[in-house]
Amino acid sequence: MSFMTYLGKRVMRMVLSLTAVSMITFTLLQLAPGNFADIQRISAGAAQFGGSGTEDMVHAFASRYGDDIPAWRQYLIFMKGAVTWDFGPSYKYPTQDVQDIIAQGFPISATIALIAVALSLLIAIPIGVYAAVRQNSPADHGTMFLITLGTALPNYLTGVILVLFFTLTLGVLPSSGWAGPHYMIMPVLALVLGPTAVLARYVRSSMLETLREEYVVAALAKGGPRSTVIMRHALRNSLIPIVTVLGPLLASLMTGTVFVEALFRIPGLGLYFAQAAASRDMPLLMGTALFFALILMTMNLIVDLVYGYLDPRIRAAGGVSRWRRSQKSPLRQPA
Amino acid sequence: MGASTRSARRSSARLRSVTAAVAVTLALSGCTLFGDDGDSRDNGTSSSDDTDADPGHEQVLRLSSSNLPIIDPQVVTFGMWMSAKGIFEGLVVQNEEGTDVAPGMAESWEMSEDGLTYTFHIRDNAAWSNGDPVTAEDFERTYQRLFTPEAGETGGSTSGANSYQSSTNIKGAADFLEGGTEDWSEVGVRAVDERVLEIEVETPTPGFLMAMTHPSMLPLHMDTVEEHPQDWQEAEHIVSNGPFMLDRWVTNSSMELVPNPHYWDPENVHLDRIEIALLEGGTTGAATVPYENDEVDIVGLANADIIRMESDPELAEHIRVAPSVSYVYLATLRSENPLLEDVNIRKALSLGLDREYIATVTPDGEPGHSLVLGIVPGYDESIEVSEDVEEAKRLLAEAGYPDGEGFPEINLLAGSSNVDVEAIVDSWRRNLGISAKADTVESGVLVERRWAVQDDDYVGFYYGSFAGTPNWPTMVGSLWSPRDIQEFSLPADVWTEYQEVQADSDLSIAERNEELSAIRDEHASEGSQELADLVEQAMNTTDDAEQEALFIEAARLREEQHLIIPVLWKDRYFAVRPTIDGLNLRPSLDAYYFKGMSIAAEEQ
Repeated sequence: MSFMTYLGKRVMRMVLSLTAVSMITFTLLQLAPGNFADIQRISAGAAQFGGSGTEDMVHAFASRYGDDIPAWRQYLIFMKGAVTWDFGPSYKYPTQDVQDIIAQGFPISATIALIAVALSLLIAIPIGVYAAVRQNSPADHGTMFLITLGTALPNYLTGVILVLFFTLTLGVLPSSGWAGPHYMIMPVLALVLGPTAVLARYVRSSMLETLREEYVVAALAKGGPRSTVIMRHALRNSLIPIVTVLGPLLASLMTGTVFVEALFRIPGLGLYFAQAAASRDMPLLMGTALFFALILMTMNLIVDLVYGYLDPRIRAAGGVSRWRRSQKSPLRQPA
Repeated sequence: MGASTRSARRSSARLRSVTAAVAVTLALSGCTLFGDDGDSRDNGTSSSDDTDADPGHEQVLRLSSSNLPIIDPQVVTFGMWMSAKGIFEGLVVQNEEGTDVAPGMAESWEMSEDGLTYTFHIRDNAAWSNGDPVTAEDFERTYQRLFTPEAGETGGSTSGANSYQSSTNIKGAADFLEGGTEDWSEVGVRAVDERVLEIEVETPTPGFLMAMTHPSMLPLHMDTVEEHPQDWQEAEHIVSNGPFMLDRWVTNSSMELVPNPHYWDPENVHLDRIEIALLEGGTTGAATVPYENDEVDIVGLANADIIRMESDPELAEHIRVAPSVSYVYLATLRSENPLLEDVNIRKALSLGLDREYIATVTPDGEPGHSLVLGIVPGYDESIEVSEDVEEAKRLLAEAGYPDGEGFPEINLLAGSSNVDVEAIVDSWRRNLGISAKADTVESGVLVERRWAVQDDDYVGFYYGSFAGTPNWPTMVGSLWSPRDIQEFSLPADVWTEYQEVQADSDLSIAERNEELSAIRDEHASEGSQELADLVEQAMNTTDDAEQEALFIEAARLREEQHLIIPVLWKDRYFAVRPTIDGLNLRPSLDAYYFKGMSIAAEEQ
């Protein structure tokens, strides 16, 4: 089995999963009470309709949103466009196609996510290593206490505290909006804490494990300087589990963080996703849900690939590089 | 050792290249990320940017708005109110107090003796932002688009309903809109010549001129709309006739307005630029943060903001109140349990509400004693419903529930949790000894359940609010129209049948309307039928005083049905920077016009 075959199989599986995601999302949306038109009537423009609105108005709504054709046909019409990356116009933003909204919102969410994760790594790795090498010392307990606090503190609360400090007390940062690089500072800071805490714990436990490995003990016994041994031998091998967490973590942040985006009023994808669900905006919800699923699966695929690249043992044991092994022993079939 | 050093070097080199790649990506995306890449929505004229703006010389008004997907005034969205604030201008505009009309595109107008024909004379210097003159034909073409069914779709929009208000009462308009006729000559809108527009109304309509200030009646540059059916609203295409024009619109991000160089009344246009941040979502009660941080100059306040600002001596001076345009009501839910089909029980519940107390719970609430707002000219206190605990108790006892004993729990179905509902619950418990509870549900659940017939063990009301033009025809004729009241008065089983007819897609619109009206005629309550007659009579009366008397009578009759129970009138609160002059808050949903506003230089 060649690498391409392996990749092909993975991609096939992704396509199947995406189809399943689309069906489940669509079905759930059909089962959800209410519809876009009625919800619009009680929110945005409600005030302008007399009483209940006329029946004709309701019918006009219904035909515009495709409620007068069977649901399965709506689904097929949508999916037909979706395979060519054309999700059609959103209900709420009728002048914009869903793929354009994604193209506009995703880079915003992704940038914030990348910066936040990069920053988290820069903070988490030293903290984790520091705590591990001083295991059970007051320094270890102290940092781990702070880390637990960080996990417990939800990012929207951190956000509010940041606004209180940077905007209302110091007056140095704009409270919300999205009009320049400095608008990124508070959202990124609000997002950093959680991932930092998660990553630091992983680094610490993984580091503790590696430090007990024989090759580390041997390197120390040979008289290698402690710092060199830790940095060169232990750290690199400790980072492998981090990669596992990093993929989904990045994916979940990239697809938008509803609370932080809402708090800072950032036009990222998470906000659109949440609004689409609340207002039953079918094309926008389906488009964003499929896109999120795609991002998550791609991230997982990348993690698997990087995994094998980082650790030859994983490559040897199966996983990504089953194809290599199968080339060597053509009789063995992958499970 | 050597090997591991090499690998460490290799990996750090790899790390460096990854970092570099990320940096490049960021740099590349950075220019588009904040929407200032001069994309297609930018018409390229905004070369002077924020950095060199000098607030001392340039009058820049900064606002924030919930994101506007579209500004088409013919479609019901928040965007139509932005259009009305000063991007487009109608034949007439509202005066400073919002109580009457003032000349807009029309410099004068007259009404025929029978009150059925209005003739508007468009001013000579009325012009579009591209220099074209504004003509009577522009209005006729615009209204033809407005009254054409599915016009929203031809406008590149699938969002929301047609914004035309039926109480405007233009002859033939409703019929044309419903597809009853396709003959435009039957609609009472006619361009007599380039400068004269004639509008006929179905029946004498006292609120007609005020209704003409509604966004739906704003003119559009139809050549542009027809040339760019999808994109006419975008900054690069739009042609408008208001004091300001759209200079820049970065989707989902910001909007910039500049004065329209061809506007007829430049002396009253003072602002050099209006910057509007289009923001998604937002957190209730956090609106004052951008205001206090000097990011915006005017901001609408929610209750939490009002309380916070009132407690700050300095900020309290920034608060401005606009008269109420909306009211909070409780509408009777249909139920298999006929309890609330008894008007006396509904009356007892309405009389048992301590509206004065409920109004004290929120800063923006005033006791709402009627479904007609108190600011309606000629408002008459005789229509009011007021607290009368003795009478309420007597009615309950008469119905077999002395002191509220054995009375089923009343449910208050609401789409969001709020203190008004809790205060209502509290008020009934204390006054009548009955129990009630708030049933707060997600909005999708609310829209489905409020029209449904509830199970036998569920009786109550749904909580809602409405806003509308404060005049008699709107408040009595269309906001809870006689037809609405008739529908609410139908017994539960008839209502089920009625809804089935409404949903029957095999019927043509005309057939459906006929069947529905037959059901209403047969089963709606006597009071609601009488109400319909009164309103029709009022609409056909030419004498102003007589008409007002009929509307008052109708309004009183409507309150006596107690199908929709008024609870509160809601005022609107704004924080306005003291440097702003010429801001007139009106009791209308657009709240104020940009025209006439100016900004004094900041006191240093």
